[in-house]
Amino acid sequence: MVFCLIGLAVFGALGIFSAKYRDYFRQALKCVMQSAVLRPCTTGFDKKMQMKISTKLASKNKKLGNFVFKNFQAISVIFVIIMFASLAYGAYGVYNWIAFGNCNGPQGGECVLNDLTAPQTQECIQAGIINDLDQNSPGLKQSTG
Amino acid sequence: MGLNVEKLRQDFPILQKRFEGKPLVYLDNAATSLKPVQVIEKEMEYYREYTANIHRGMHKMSEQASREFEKAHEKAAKFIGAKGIEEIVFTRNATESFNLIAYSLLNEGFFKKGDEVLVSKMEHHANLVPWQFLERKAGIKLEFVELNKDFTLDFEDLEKKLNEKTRLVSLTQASNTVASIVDVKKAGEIVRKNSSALFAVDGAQAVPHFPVSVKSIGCDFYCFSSHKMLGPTGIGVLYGKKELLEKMQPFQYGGDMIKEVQWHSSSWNELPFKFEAGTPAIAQGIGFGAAIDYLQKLGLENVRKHEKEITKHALERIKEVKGVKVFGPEDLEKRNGIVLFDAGKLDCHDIALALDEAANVAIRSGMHCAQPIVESINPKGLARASFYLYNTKEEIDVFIESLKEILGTFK
Repeated sequence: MVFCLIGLAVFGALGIFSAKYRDYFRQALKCVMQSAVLRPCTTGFDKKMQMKISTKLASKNKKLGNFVFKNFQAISVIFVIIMFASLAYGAYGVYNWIAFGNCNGPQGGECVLNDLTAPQTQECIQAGIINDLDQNSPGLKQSTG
Repeated sequence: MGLNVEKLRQDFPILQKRFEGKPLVYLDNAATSLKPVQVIEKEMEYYREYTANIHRGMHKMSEQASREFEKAHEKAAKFIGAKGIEEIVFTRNATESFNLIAYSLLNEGFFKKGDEVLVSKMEHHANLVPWQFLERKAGIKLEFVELNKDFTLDFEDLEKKLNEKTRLVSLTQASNTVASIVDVKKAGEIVRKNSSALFAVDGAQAVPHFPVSVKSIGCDFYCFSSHKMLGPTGIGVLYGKKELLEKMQPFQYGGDMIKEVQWHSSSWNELPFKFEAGTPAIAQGIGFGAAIDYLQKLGLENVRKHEKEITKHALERIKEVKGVKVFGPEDLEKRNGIVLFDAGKLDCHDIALALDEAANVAIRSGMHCAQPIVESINPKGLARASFYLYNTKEEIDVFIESLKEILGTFK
């Protein structure tokens, strides 16, 4: 069940680009839904992933493969904690940005969201610097001859 | 003359495929077999050249489809030594064949409360669950024949369990789990000597692997599937003695199984079509005929000889793998090409997944549709490698080496 949560996020993202991962996403989703209503997971998704990952790693490094196989549950728990922690931290950042105009809250500091909407970026667009860059791009030069 | 395995492997398109650069080692033949191009082409031929419904058209294509479909019945009859097509009912699979027996006998009131049905303890669910249904529906009692320590049938127990209440005995000819081959001819003689019960045989794991004659066995019913013997899925066979099938009630009602229909009554078609209601699996039936041709061309004695050789090789080599325990008779004459094994600490599903991931070796894991017997050995399930005519000793070596590697890595 724990790995299914990670699978849901990872394969949900990868599934946008490849149909192969959409099937994994569906299996992970089914597993999470079953677990949510206190039913046992019937897809065997976590077991499949445990063996796939461990065997892949073991082909490069036997000890590492065996370590991941033996501690798969614990590693999954750590990843889930990290995933939820980063989600919570990200959500807090968005809240700060909406409330205070900065991801870090009233104290200010470096903020990736500010960079996207920074006055400098807007000024660059208005000044046509991006167009100038496009005009000077090597690909454009080749195509214009 | 033995099998030319290298040559016949060319007939199987899947064996020419590469998965991530590696060839497939298919050792899940007890679940279903691979299909040769001759079978695939024959099935396609129906769709390409004479797609039509059978038995009800006057046009050329319908006649050809009917002829080919009935020819497949004839081939199946000849293949197992039946008298003719009236004794060969096409079903969806062996499971449906058993259900047909159960429902049809139930419908005609063959079973009374307190009657007994006897099966062995190594049966596939197909030859167990329909009789459990009769326990609830007709109040019959389901009894089990014990197995010996080497998982062969205990004939003494069979004799002991037979009595005047026994109405039906249904045994497998070859187990899909513990690999035992049952001497069903001997079992049939015991059944006839000690009771008036009907005798049914599950031949799903027998017909694809060695010559079978229903005449020689002397059974009343014999069930098997096409997909385990190089044929298409969705088609199976119920052999039944003509005089029994004539007396039995249809299993399903509707089109094609009727002779005449009035507003309130109908009469039934002749055998075997009385039991084949609706449009059947025509393409699959025709493809099944091609599978029989293919097997007959190779010769089932040769198939059996080849399987014995590779099973012997597998059983010898698996002894090299530490911690692995194999179940089934040691005598090669008493076993089929199945190796059921337990790898101790490592779960059977983990083994199957790792073999697939590491070396493209396809084996089966779990309960193998025979939960009671498998669970009695290991409640978590067991791993199973099963061989067929296209498997080679080299493939067995890949399987064993990969198994060693996996068990050496994941401790």
